[in-house]
Amino acid sequence: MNSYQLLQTALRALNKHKLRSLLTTLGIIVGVVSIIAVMSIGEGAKYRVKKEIEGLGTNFIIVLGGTPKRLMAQRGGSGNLTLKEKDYQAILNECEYVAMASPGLQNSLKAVYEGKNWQCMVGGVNEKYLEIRKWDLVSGIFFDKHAIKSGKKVAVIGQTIKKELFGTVDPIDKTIRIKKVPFKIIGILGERGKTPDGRDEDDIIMVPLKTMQKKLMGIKTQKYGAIIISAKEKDKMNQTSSEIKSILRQQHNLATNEDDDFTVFTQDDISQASDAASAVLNLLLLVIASISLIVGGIGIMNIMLVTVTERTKEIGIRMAIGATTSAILKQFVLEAVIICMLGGFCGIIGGITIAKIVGHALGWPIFISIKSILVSLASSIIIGLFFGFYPAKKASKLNVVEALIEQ
Amino acid sequence: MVILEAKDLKKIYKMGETEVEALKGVSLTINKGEFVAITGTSGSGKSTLMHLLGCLDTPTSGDYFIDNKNVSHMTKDELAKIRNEKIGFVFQKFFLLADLTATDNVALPLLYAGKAEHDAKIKAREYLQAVDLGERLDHYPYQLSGGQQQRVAVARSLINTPSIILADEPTGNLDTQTGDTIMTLFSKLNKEQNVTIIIVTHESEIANKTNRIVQLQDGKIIADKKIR
Repeated sequence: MNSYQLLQTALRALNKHKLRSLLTTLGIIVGVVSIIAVMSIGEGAKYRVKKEIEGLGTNFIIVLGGTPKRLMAQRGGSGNLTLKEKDYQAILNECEYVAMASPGLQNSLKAVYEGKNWQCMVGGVNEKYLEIRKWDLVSGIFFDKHAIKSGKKVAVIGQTIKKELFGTVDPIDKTIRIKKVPFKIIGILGERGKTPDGRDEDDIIMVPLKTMQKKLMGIKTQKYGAIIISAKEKDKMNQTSSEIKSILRQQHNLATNEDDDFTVFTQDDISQASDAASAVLNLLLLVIASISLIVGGIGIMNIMLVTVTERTKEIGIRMAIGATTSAILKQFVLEAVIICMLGGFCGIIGGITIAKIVGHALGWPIFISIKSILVSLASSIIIGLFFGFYPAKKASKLNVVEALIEQ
Repeated sequence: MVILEAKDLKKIYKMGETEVEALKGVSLTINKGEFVAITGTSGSGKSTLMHLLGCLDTPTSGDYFIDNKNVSHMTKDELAKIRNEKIGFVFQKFFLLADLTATDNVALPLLYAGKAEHDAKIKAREYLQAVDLGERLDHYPYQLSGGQQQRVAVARSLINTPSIILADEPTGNLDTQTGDTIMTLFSKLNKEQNVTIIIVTHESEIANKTNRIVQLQDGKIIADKKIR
């Protein structure tokens, strides 16, 4: 018998027990649905995070005041005020790979417009900030060098602020009050979405660095929580980062045995951290998918054993007229593989559907990868081969005389 | 020409602690074109002999030759090949595969012999026409009467042009009239095409329609006579 004839035989047998075949495949279907859904949603999430990290800026590096440990204890935040103006100047002037930099001061404050209150992040930055972050204005202008030097009371607001405080009103030239200080709105930022750690980037008011320092935070000396940097070359991010570290250690007079009292993150560091987190999650979900595939496989084995017992007479007849052990073995293994493949196909369709629904609900892009489909098909075939083999072997070992007299 | 030769065949079944000697040394020679009945009461050993002659089982001792080939020590797969090529079975309960049409049932031995499906089906249709089932080619077993099913089985037994046809109580599940038509079919095949046929039966009327009767009792041949 050639494979086409074996295939026909297997399909005929499965067709005869439609409901049973369907129930048998359920475990495989659930397994494959989870593989496809997990991988598709995972790819989508990865893509989204990648976009967010890219969205941080061009060759983005951030220096935060405080040791990594301390920052961790504070759950991120905006850095401790341990970075000084001369640190910033040194980075800007001495680092050969640094293209642009802006000091940063940030605080959560209440903004008021015509009786409406809104608690939000207020950031003090310099004129380079938007360029470093690759962030565009949708209307108005950003504050320039002059505005920063003279400590003008102007502000540029994000989309969330516009929505919450102004609604349909055009905010340009309107005045908001932060800590009772009036700020004139001169520009509106484009929509940015969420940061990799889940903060709403559009929930921000930007004011000139010096204004932030003096009017809103009341700091006399020039201290910053962060320095935001754009490196010259993408390939030299690591060199840039170590260069910055050594300059800051020098600036802070740290002895060789002392730890950094600052923390440097590059775009790569952030994406690696998020990759590691999503890899762990993916692995966990794939383990669950594998378990359900194995449970499905055991179900297949169970049903195939029943099938072999039920069809003892058929096996006897086939052997009597010339079927060899390998022909019987192939017939039953193929049946198990086909059941699994049918389950695989249903699972792929189900998985794609669920991935699309979840993607739609979360507003994530969904990537149905060829890889996930191939992995699903391959695993269902392997499950079929593995769990179909024992029952088929049992069938092929039947004694022809005993099989024929079986009632 | 000797087509089948059994020399001192013994078969012992173990049933737990006790051993049952079903065949106690059977020697038998059958020539090409013979039409033989193996008879005996229930428990005489005729089913065991039929299993050995049909290569469905191997003897505990003794030798068995088909076409001068000793098959008594062959492996399971070698025996499957011998059954496929040299023996055509007709069973009391027809033993057709319920999921297959008459044509597909008849073609099956050819498929196991590795023949192309298309050619196998053409040949199967010819053989069904030869047993007057030209009108029932695509019927499933449940759509056929007992006599028709047995004729499908006869066509299946013949399709691979075997050396012998081994029929185990071929009329046992049929009424007398239908049984007679099957026996007439066998004698016709024997006379016209010189097919070697062995019929295992406990009915003397059936045995009397053949040319030679081999009688078994308690695992031994007690009579072997030509009646025509």
